[in-house]
Amino acid sequence: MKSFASVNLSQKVFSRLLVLYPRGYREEFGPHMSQLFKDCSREALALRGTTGLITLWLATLPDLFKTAFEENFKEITHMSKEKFHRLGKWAFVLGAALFLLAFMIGSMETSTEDPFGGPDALIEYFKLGIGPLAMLLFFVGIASLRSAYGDAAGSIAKTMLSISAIGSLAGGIGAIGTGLMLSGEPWWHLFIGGAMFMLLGIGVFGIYCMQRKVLPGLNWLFALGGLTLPLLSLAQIVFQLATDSQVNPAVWLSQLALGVTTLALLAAGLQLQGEKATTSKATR
Amino acid sequence: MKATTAPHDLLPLTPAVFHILLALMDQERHGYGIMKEVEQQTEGEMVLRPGTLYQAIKRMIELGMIEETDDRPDPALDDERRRYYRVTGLGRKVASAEVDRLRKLLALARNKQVTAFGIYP
Repeated sequence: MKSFASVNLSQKVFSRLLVLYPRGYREEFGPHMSQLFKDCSREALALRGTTGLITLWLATLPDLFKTAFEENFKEITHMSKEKFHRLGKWAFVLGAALFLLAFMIGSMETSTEDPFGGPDALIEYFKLGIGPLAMLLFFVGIASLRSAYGDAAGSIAKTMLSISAIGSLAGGIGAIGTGLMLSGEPWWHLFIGGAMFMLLGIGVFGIYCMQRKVLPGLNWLFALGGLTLPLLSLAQIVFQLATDSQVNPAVWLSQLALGVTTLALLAAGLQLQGEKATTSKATR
Repeated sequence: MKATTAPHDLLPLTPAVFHILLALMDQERHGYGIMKEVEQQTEGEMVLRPGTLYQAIKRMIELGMIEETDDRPDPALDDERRRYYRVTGLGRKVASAEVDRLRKLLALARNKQVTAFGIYP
């Protein structure tokens, strides 16, 4: 009778201590942990009496504190990660929308030299602030893409997303410099170079998304949005080197590439909404 | 959408996870049953406490390595509040992959003449 009371008391105290775990975890596993501890208490008492019970408690308490701390830590980081992913997806969409907006406004701009607007007018709006803001939003969006889908897409895609994020930061700095007209060309080159690396990183990530089917559909959108402009630039460089000329692509071709890029990135960002992230599965 | 998990993506396993998988290989068990089996199969070297055991179980369920089951080996003899677990197809593949990993590691150690008794040049 006395031993029965000791086991019950032991289980009650243990059950109270389960309050240290996060609520969801406690509700899911608390009763089973409590039952397990009751079984252990019964066994310890039967084999070694009160000494056995004390030894059991001494072994169980550090384990309980350690795992409760770990579960609370996981809960907190998981919550902030979820928030970051949600925020990042919207940042990506807004960044792409700003790109599209800048492109559309740029296209409306007319001048005698460039009757249909286009890249030149777009540059002017970038100078005004849309560029830096879009790049900053892309930086947040790409960082969250890397965190949410990097593991599923593979290590190369993950590295390319890191390069992409660095590119967006460099591009943003370049855009600010260009906007402030600090010293012209170097800032402009930093902006263009940063943007190209940003797009290239997204494009390679898109290829791995297609290969590994990271998203349920339209995985190719990232590849299309990311690779169109870098491929056009590459074709231009190859052409210029081969013909030893300084011929640039026709304005309509640049506009088309820019349009495809912005629309594809916007569609890719919208597709991410409502999509649950696939995170790392390592059991360590 | 969840990308398909390859067994190798889940390696290396922690000793607790590997021993829980081994404990569930031959039959379904509840928490206490797993604990006793692990203790027995390691000759008392590893004793899983409630916190560590259920932390590992939670993670293994999330990863699809084990699952809960409503079946009871003998309902008349068992407390229906207990939850039983069984290993899944993925769990078996992960265990095999871990065995293969350990086999290669052991072969490497033997090549380097590292034994349980020390290093022999």
